[in-house]
Amino acid sequence: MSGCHGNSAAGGGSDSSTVVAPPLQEAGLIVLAGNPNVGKSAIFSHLSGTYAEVSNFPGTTVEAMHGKWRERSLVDAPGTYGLGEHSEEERITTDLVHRAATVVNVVDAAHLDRDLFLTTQLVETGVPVVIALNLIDEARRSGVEPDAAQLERQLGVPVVPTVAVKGEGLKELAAAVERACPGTWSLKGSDDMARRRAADELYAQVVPQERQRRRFAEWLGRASVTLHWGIPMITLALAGVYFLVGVLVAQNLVGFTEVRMGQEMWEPFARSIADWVGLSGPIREILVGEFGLFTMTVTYIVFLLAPLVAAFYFALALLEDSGFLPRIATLVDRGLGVLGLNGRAVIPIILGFGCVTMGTITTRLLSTKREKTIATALLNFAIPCSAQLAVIAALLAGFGGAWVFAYALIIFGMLVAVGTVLDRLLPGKTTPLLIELPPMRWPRPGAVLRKTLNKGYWFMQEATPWFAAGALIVSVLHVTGGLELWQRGLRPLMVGWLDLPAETARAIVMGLVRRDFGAAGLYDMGLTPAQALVALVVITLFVPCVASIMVMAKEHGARTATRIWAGTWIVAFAVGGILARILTWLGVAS
Amino acid sequence: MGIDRVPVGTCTRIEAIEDPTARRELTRLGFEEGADVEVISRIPYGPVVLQRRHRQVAIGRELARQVRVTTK
Repeated sequence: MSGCHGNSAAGGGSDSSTVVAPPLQEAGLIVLAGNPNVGKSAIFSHLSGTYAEVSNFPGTTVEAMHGKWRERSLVDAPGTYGLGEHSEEERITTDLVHRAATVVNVVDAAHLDRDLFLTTQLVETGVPVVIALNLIDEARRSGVEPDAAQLERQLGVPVVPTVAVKGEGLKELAAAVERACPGTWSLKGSDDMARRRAADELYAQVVPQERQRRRFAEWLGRASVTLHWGIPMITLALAGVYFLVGVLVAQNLVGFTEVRMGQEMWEPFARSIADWVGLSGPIREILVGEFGLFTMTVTYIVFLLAPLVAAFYFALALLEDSGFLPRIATLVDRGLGVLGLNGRAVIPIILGFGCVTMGTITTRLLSTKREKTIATALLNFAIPCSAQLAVIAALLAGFGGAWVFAYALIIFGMLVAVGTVLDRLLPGKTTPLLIELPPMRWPRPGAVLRKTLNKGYWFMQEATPWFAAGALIVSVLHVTGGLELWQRGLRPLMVGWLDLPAETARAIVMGLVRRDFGAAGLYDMGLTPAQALVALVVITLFVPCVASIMVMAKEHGARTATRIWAGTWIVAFAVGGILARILTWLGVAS
Repeated sequence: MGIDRVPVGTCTRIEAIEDPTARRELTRLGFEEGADVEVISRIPYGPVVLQRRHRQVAIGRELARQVRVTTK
């Protein structure tokens, strides 16, 4: 293994990205840096014991993750292909690297040619570097295992082969971190082009052998981005997701857990405990009543939401880890262009179907403020989250497929309308798509499972307090008579304009806290099909969850958040009213 | 001509990338000026997918027009 060679070779280049580390180092700080989608997050999770996203999609770490390792601070920097000032991720990573005491450069051993561009920049900063040659198993299988010893000699820093998702090589990596040292590599040229060439030369020395052809994977990688293979593949994949989440779990499993386990076993049990303790009056109502903290909230969160959300994240993890998502982004790029977005925006939108809040956070990976605004607006106006969808599907399915179809058509129309209008209104142009397509690969079961559990847990943690708060508010209003007052106040709007029963105003209160909660509130009201359709369209277009609004305010400023919030009131009730008129005119509203 | 007009299955050499941001990004990804690449897919009115050394990158149609090539 290499020894240290002193700090003489720092800063070979003269471009802005390779300046010598400024003296604002943080004692002991370890920074994980690397290209997107190389397994940094898996290494971070293993070392720190904290969870970070692992996926086969570039850009999942949009914010630096902080953790601890052996009393030292450990930061997982956003993935970048190079250092510099050109994007948010680059700026964050570059700044972190300059503050680091040690940089762990995670590289994809199977695609080292690309990764060495950043590696040479990192070594040139003069900060002690260790290279984790990750995914070494994949490189071996493709016959392109890099010569680690040769790479060490060339760069002058320790190089450790690892398979992060299996925990292989991480002990050795930990040992290497302790003896990290500044490298000896320096680049004679200074521009990107010279660096690219140098990286390619270095690659030729480290991986002299030819890659083995893996015919099926290669065919799949190519076919999936053509129209005649790609479109059927997407359709099949989405049908699979629908079958798993929408049919198996939403209808069969949840039917069992919600009714049998929740309403028939858990709720009576909670009430009997309350009676045994001797609770009565308003307190009993708030705790175990119709909207009780220990009855409805628990049933909804544990027996309805949890299985749904887990199923959705499981399906999503498969799509992500197989490398399918960026290919979907490529195929839909043209279509999203109509909405003023490029293909990349499909990621927040798909995530939004899981949880709008999470989708809103992911709009960060879009490159301009314009695109972030459009995507955020779409998510918060017209994308129902999985929890909401499940309730909606359950409610409408009872009336027959035509009603489900009508609902889907209206919401899709709204999506297109909102996108098109914003595209016209907002100044600027859509940025063109430029996205790397990772190789297609079998998702690793361990990684998929861990991701499902962790994301599901994240969602529950996020949703539960808001949900409980919402239940509490409704219970208190119910007990104090405030609910009556609210219903009377909204009566002209609900009854006069939307042709709905006055009690649906109750769902609107709940919808103010969470939309899925609002949809759930419509469940037992005995609505006619037409009323259910109107009510669900209003609830879907209605204000986003409190959590989403908070994220929006944080990401885009309070003004945008307030505008979108107020806008949803107008749009939801306007569209709902018009729909009610049309249904009456068609003669189906009776 | 632009790489958007190169038929699928053709190998070609990137001569110039007119858009500076795209030039930076593509250079980092290993699709720099002077690189030999293969066009593996063209979505109608949509992105063009390029491959080099088993790695693929998709670029929007507008951008593809600005990637100038010579066919071999």
